[in-house]
Amino acid sequence: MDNILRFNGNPHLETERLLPWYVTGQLDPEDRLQVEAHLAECEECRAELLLERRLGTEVARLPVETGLDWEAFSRRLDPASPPPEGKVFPMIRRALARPGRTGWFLSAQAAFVAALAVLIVPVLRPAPAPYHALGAAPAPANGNAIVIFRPDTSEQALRETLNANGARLVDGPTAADAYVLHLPAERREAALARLRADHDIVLAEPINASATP
Amino acid sequence: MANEKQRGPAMPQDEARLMARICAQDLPAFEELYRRYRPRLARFLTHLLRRPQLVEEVFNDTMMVVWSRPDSFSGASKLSTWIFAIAYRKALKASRREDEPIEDAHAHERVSPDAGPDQRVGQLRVQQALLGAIGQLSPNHRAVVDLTYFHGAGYREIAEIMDCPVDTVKTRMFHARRHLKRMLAGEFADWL
Repeated sequence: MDNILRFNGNPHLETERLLPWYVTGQLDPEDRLQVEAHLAECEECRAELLLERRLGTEVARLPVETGLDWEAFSRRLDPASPPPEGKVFPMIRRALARPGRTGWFLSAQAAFVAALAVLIVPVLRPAPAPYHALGAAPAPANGNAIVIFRPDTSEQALRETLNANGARLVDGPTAADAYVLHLPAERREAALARLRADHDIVLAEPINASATP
Repeated sequence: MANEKQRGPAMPQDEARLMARICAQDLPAFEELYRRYRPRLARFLTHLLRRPQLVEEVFNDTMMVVWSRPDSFSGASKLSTWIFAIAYRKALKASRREDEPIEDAHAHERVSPDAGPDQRVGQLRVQQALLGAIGQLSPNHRAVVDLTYFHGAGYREIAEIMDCPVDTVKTRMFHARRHLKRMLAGEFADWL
C-alpha cells in the first residue's frame, strides 16, 4: 500500500494528492502554485477541495479522551540522576569562540539565543569538587541561574556585573564559557531581567536544578 | 507544528528555555513541558495505538526519553518533531509487540461534549463513521491523517517524524483519503 505513487502528467491525481496540505497551508511554494493553477481551471477538483476542507475539519474535531496523569508519572522520575554528556558542546563552543564574528553573533535574533540556551545547558552537570582547602571560604549556595558573557567581556566588567546583582559564582566557566550563578532567591527574577539587559551578557536563564559545585 | 518547513527549525523561545532548564534537570520545567505536550501527543498516540494502556505506556516512555536524554535533541529539528518522532518509534515498537488487531472499541462513546442537543445526533453519526473509517486504516496511515489534519504538520515534517521519504507520506495520505471517501460516501454527499 506504500508503493510510492507518481502522477506526473495527471494534474487531477497530483492535485488530489496534495490537497490536504494545500488546505492546511503546508505545501511547498512550487506545489502550491501547481495546485492553484489546476484548481483555477478544474471544477471537479474545486469540488474535491470543498470536501477536503470539511474532511480536515471533521477529523480535527474528533474527540479523544486520555487519562494521563502527571502525578503518577512524576513518581517514576529520579531528579538525582544527572543527564548524560551532551553531544552538542562542540557546536556551541565553536559558535562562542569564533574570532572576529562576535558582532553579528551577539546581535543575532532571539530565536538563535534561545537555541543557544538549549545547546549550552548540558554543561551544567554537577561536577564534584576534588578537595576543599582548610580555611577555604564557605561554598556558595546552589546555582539558580546560568549566564553567558560576551567573549570579550573583561574580568573587571564580569566582577562588577556579579556584584551589582548580588550574584555568587557557583560554577564555570564551563567548556562553553557559561557560568552558573547563585542569585538571591527573592530577587532572582529582577536580577535576571537586569542581566538580560546587560550588553555584556548573551544569555541569562533561571535554573532550578541542584547544580552544586 | 505548522509553517516551519521553509524556515528551518527555529524553536519558540519559551520552548528553548524549557529545554534549557530540562537539560539542567529542572523538574518544574519538565512538568510544564509534560502538560503542554500531553493533549496533542496523547491524541496522536490514541489514534495510532487505540488502546489506553498502550497509549499511557508509550506516552510515559516518550517523556522519559525527554527527561533522561534531553541532550539527544540536537536542535536540528523542531522540538515537537523530535518528541513526536520518539513517540512514533516507540508506538510502532509497542504495537508490533501486540498480536491482536487493534480496534477502537470505544469509538461510539466519543462525541464532542460542546455539541448542542440538536447537533448531537448528526455529529455523532459523522464522528462514528469517521472514527470507524480511520480505525480501519493502518497505523502508518492513521498517523499521517492525524498529523496532517489535527496537528497541522506538513509532509516534510511528517516524513521526518516517520523517518520515511516525503513521497511516501504523500502516497499514504492519498490512499488514506481514498479510503475515507469510500467509507464516508454518504456523508460526503451531504457535505457538498
